[in-house]
Amino acid sequence: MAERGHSLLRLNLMEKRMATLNDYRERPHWSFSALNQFVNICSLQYYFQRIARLPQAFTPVSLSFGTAFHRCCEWIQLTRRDGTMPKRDESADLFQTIWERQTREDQRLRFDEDQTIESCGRQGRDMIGCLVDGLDPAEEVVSVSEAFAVPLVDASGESLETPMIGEIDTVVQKAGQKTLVDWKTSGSRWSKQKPHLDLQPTVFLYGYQHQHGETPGFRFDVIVKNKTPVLEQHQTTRTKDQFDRMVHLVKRVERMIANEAWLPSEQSFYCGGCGYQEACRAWHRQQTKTISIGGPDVRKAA
Amino acid sequence: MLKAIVSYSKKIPVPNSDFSSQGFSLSLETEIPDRDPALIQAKLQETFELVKASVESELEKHGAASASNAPAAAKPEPARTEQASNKQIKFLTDLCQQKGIALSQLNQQIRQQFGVGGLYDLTRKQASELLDSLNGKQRKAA
Repeated sequence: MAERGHSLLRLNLMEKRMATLNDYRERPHWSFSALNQFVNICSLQYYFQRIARLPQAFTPVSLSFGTAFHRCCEWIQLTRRDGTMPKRDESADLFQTIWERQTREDQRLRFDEDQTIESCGRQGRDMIGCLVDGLDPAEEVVSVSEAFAVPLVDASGESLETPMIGEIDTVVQKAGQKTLVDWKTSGSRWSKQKPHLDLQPTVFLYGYQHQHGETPGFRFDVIVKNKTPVLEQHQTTRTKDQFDRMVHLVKRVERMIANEAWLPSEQSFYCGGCGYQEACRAWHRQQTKTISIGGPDVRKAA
Repeated sequence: MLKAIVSYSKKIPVPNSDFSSQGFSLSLETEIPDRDPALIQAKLQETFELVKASVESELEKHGAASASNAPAAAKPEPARTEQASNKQIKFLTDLCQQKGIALSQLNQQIRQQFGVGGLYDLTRKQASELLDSLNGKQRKAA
């Protein structure tokens, strides 16, 4: 069963010959995750990961689990796109296969309390089952894992040299209306405000609009990790003013990076799962200037 | 005393296994006593080459056994070295902004003219051709 899905994905990539996110990553770029990491998570973590390129002490289980979940969702959508509604058990089995492989690939995997590979596997199977149960047969799948790269242009018409890149999980269409969908897993229910404040819809809708000249909607499909998982769907949209604000934010962040303005986000919710805790604890004792090189993105910080 | 952190990482697909990749990375911290920019650059280059060679050597050892079993589809694609640079694309974008052409229109033109997805899929040569064609339109308009 899993083999069929693998073949489908390979066929899809070969048939379309479209640029992938990895292609776009070869050039200096911005992404939602980089921007969000700097602005909302921790600018010092951004430095450790993307400038100093330090190896992480461990891989949090949530990251591995999310990757496996995402890959399974990808297969589900490709199957739908090819005209077949995936079955619950088949999808859950595929998750199990991907999850077990993911745990072998990721080094120094760190589990939360009371979690094991087996318990996460069971939870993931239930969550995938919940997602399959919630699929809307009236929805047409337009694309899966669609990469984009677009210039960032501010309100005055000035463009930034570094583009924004990203990969849209899936684009669906119903009654003539297109919607970009992003899959999430979450330990708790989302607040009503979160989808409207999140940077991801802003970045992705900006990318899609400039790539295609269309203005679709955006939806988060969130599977909440309850004992019995729940599917939440959060719709949102963005305005031109929000796009302008996002570009302005990138410009400010670029200036902060040029000035090495990174700070630890003390007492952050994210600290527990951060793989740079040791480097962070030693940060204020490091009185050195840093020069990092590597690949085409040669950066020299004074 | 300057401190340099030199890193090199590379990911390759796992043969016969979709959805999988294996990553190899190495970071080396070194101190640079010199203040002369040319000497600093030379030291950095030397260190980077050392780190890169070490990773590639490990890859060779690790990959030699599995490469023969890899299906054709799993071979990594050649690097897109001829892609238009960010500077070139910024130049194109700014020109379009001045001429009042929307980015989506420009991408549409690129799809029709070159059969690629958009601005950042252009090669250097295609970007030059597009620039010529945009400037040609400008001359006609003038």
